[in-house]
Amino acid sequence: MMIIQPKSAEENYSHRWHLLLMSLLLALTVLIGRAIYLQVLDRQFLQKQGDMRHVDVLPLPSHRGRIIDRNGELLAISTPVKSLWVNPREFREADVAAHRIRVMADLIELPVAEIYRRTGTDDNRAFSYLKRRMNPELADQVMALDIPGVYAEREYRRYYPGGEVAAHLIGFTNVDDSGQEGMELAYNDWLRGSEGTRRILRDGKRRIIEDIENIKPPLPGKDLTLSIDQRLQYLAYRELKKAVIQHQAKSGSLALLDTRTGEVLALVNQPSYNPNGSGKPKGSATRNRALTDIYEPGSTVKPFVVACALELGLFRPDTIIDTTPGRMTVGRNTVRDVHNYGVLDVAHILQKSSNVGVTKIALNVPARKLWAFFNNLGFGQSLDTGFPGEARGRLPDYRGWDAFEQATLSFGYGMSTSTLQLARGYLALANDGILPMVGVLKRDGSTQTHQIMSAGAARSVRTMLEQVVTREGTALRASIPGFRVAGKTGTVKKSSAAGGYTQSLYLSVFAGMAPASNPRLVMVVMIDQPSAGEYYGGAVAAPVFSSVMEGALRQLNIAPDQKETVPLFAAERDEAA
Amino acid sequence: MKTLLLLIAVVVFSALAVVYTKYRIRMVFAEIQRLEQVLVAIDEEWGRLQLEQNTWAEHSRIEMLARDRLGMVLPARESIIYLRP
Repeated sequence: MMIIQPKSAEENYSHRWHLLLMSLLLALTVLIGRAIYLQVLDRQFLQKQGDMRHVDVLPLPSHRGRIIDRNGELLAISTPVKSLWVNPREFREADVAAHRIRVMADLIELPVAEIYRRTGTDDNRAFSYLKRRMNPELADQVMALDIPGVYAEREYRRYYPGGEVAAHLIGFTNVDDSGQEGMELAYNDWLRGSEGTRRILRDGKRRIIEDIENIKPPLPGKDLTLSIDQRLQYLAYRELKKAVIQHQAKSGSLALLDTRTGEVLALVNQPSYNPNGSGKPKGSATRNRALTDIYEPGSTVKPFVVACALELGLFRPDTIIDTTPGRMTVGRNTVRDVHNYGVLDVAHILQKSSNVGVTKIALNVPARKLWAFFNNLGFGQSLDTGFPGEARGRLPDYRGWDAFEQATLSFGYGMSTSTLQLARGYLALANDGILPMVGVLKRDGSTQTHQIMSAGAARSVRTMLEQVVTREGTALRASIPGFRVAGKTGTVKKSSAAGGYTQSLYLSVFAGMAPASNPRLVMVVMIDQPSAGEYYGGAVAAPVFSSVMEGALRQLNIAPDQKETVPLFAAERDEAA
Repeated sequence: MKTLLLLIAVVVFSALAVVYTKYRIRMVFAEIQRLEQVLVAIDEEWGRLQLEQNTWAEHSRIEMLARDRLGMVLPARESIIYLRP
């Protein structure tokens, strides 16, 4: 048992006092230490936390470049739009009156329930889009409602004023303004520019109060100038569409080239799609068939076989070839003509499109030379336009050829090409043997060219091809009043999926140039599976050639070259008077 | 003592100058913001006008107007006179 003694109690108090003092001192030291730690040793932490609440980095959206045609007409442009987003937490805390939400829902055309769903408590996000890419004026009206937690953000939307006319070549962008197809994809980096950023200071109410610095200025994208001419593109699109509907065809493509520069003036396909539509376009309609789809070119390659034989000096335009009796055995197979054409010269073999005649010519040309000639024309060779998904076509190696394969190649089977590749081959005929590089971008200077045959050979084939577009030839309907036209038809049996060729499915092709005396334009028209009765190249594809070429010649101010029907020139008439 | 008074005066002046500069910064910044808004608005309008011009100048529309309203026709080949330079 403890007895309390007054004497010792005094000593005890002194101890307590010391203990209290010590613990107070200790607490003070801890506090001072902590203060020193925060203010001197680890001051960055607090500063960062402070900055996080006040300093912010804002992105500065950059403008995607325009796409324009060779004359500066607009093909694609980005216009500013606004996207509305909501901070669900702020929105919930503000407890906005129901009637105001209803006004907003009407403006953004979203059901009220959907707005509540997006701002619901089930997730804790601080960001949710209400509506993307809306009319800026409408967005401003919503912002004027001043609903807490709702913010507007500036974005760009891509518009294609031409709609479906040049949709395949231009392509389209996705919702984040990044190229998905066509030139939008191929030149995405060129068009895109780069987003800038800037650092700003906000106050307690999240308002921007100070611009601290521009970290990176936004770099606007550059404009892209295509080689196409929107007027010709529209004309070609209209005529091709008409023909595809009229002949109940599956698809079609058309390429129009400038012979001198190799630039593509028009490149259209059917079916097409509207790149301004909101939904994602369906797969097959977005294909740029003229560049990505390959097919056997059929009789349209016959002029090249003749050019090769003339070039090597093996034949002359008036060399006589006997095609009787309209069929011919090559190896174990038979080459047939539609009719028995009898004895023909080389020019008439092209005019009548005789398979037997052209086989006889081809079998006289060494396989290696024929292959090299075709190879130089660009068959089986990429066009290098930079277009995504561009087809290379196929030209089998001559070392694997037997006589029958060489024969079939001479009338365009066993090899494949895209519409634009075929058009490139015809450039060499149109351009006196000189083949320029084909491109879909407008060129400033001249381009790389290759002389692949003599001017003489090209000219005499051209003269022969003029005979095709006559009453006696296969393509009278390709003729254009006032102009001399050279061209070749092709009616190609489609190969079936099961192997071999179908008996009733055809491709109608026409390749030609005008004015024939000094060609300025080359055009290839391909119509796939015409099924309204007519299917010959001269009946389906040639009329499209005629109407598009006539309009193109007029719009490009190219003078007629057909002597007999040319009316008196003003100067000459003056002299006569 | 004199130096001290002078220094105090300088400090006060400097403090006022800081306040004034800050104020100016705020003002100028507000102006920048306003001008940027104007720039955005002008940019938007330009894009809209470009699109509008394109819509009015659409080939199919021009063709329709030329044919229907102005009664224009494509001249027949015989009535075209070519001038040779």
